[in-house]
Amino acid sequence: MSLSHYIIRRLIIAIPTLIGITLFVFLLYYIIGGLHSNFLLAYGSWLSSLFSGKSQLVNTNVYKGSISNAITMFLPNTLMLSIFAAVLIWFIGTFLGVFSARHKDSAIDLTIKATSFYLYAAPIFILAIVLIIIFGVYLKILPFSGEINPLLMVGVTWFSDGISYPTHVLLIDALIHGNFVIAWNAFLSLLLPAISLALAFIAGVIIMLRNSMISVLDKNFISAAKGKGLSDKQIIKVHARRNAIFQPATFFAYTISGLLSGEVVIETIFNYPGMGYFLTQSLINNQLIAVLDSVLIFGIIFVSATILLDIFYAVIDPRVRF
Amino acid sequence: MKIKSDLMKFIRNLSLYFRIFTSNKMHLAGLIIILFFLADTVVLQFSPWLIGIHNPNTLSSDYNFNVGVIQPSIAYPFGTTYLGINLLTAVLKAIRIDVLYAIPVVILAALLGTFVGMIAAYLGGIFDEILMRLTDVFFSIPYIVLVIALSAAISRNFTVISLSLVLAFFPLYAKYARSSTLIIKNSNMILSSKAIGSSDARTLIYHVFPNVISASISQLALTFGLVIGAFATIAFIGLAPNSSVPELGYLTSFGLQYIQIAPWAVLIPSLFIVLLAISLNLIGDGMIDLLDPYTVSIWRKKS
Repeated sequence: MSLSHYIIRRLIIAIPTLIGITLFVFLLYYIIGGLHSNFLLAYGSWLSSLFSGKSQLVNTNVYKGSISNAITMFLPNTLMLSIFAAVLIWFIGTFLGVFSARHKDSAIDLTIKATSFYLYAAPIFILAIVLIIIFGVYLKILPFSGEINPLLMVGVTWFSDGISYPTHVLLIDALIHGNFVIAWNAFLSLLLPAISLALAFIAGVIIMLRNSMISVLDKNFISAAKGKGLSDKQIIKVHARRNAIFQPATFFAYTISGLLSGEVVIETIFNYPGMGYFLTQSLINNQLIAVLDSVLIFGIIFVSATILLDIFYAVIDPRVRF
Repeated sequence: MKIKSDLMKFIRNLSLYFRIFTSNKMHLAGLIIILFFLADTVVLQFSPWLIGIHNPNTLSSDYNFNVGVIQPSIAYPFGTTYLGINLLTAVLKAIRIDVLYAIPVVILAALLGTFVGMIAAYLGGIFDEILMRLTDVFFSIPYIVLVIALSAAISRNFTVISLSLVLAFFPLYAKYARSSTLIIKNSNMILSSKAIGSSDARTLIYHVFPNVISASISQLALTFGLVIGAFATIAFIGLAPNSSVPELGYLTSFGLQYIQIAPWAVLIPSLFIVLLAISLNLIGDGMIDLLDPYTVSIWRKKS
């Protein structure tokens, strides 16, 4: 099967799950609203209202306005935080995992292994608290509330009512407008949330990659490569890592759901204006329609992320396509 | 001839499994710590007065406005937190609440998942498709989002939170049970059970279930850890419905406002959450080792 066929098939497989998610969210609407008309008819008109972009108002202490506007404001921040965290997870996780496997049973390997186990087991909010205590409260070197120091935003023309233009992601907008002081502060504000979110998953990738790397390094083709006289660096890069990477990649796919849960927790703890923060604030302020719309958005994010990962997986490993 | 099932083998080999499990000191340490937590739960459930606690279900009896927030001392070994609450008794109470809420969630999620996966694989065809797509829907909604959605739609209480967590954690068990049922579905054991005229329900309960349950059992401790973490997280971010229920995550959030002057009020409850989560992970690791036939056969030869 060619890659394009695989992608098309993967998209088709996602359709029943997406329909299921909309049905589930609509069922909750039905429970809240006590609608008495025919369920399927009501479902149909609800779906068409979603596509036409009609949207209700929401009123929380962090945001007042239409729900669709709230989504365009909060969603980009969530994507920014997730992508930043995913990059940290992938690069730090693979680097330390390979490093640990190459120095198997050395003191540093055992330290990495034990630390990873504890980080992986502890709930994310505890890691966030510990990082806030160390870097925010005692060392006072990193901000830990909001996306920016609000004093910096006074009189900035491309920023109003908590929304920056054009991309709605403060860090990127500041770079576009060439304001590096704001960009630097936005970057610093992103660091603690992203690291707290990433740590547990970095630990997961390290544990997986270390184990699969150790078993790959035992294989005959590695000895053959050594016999040919290849350098250690080449063996790791060209032969071992490529074969060991599949297990952590699958693990990554399974943890998207955990990553999104973590996103809600981290955004709430750090008052970071993303979809997760919007979701918890909407529940606390009893804005039920806003809650259900955000649930739908989270379901769609999950399904799209798994599709993207599967495609990525099919690109790096052609065996998947068959 | 008696049909040997995995479950019967598991029970018969219990002492061997115990020896394998305890051979790893870390797994043993996890088990001992969890036994302490369980002992606390049992004592507080049946005779809380033994350790001088009178209202294990609420924190409001512990409010002591004269004390304020003070550091650990002989009178208050863990110090006090928000509203002068003695952290030692609060933590002991909270452990019981967390354990008592988590156990039914774990068992229900495992049973629901195992039955859904088993039935999907056994019936096959359109049933398989429908049940597994339904499972995928719950698999694709992050657990916190699911808790928030159902709390919004139904009502904000602990029953709804527990049910949401059951829905969030059953897909894993459904996937396990489905794959192990597919493996044994066409085995001679199942075919002969059908041939002598057993109904589908009888075959499922007496022959399929005991053979697919061991993979699920090995996951119980890990799920237990995840569910405890989930309860703590939900209470910590302010979604707990009741402001006087002693809960470890909730106690942690109490201390946050004093973090500059009283770090223990945050560190002590969170330390207990970490202890619970890590011990359950250690036990979970040990239980997964028991599923490895190679390890078990080596130990069997030794004895």
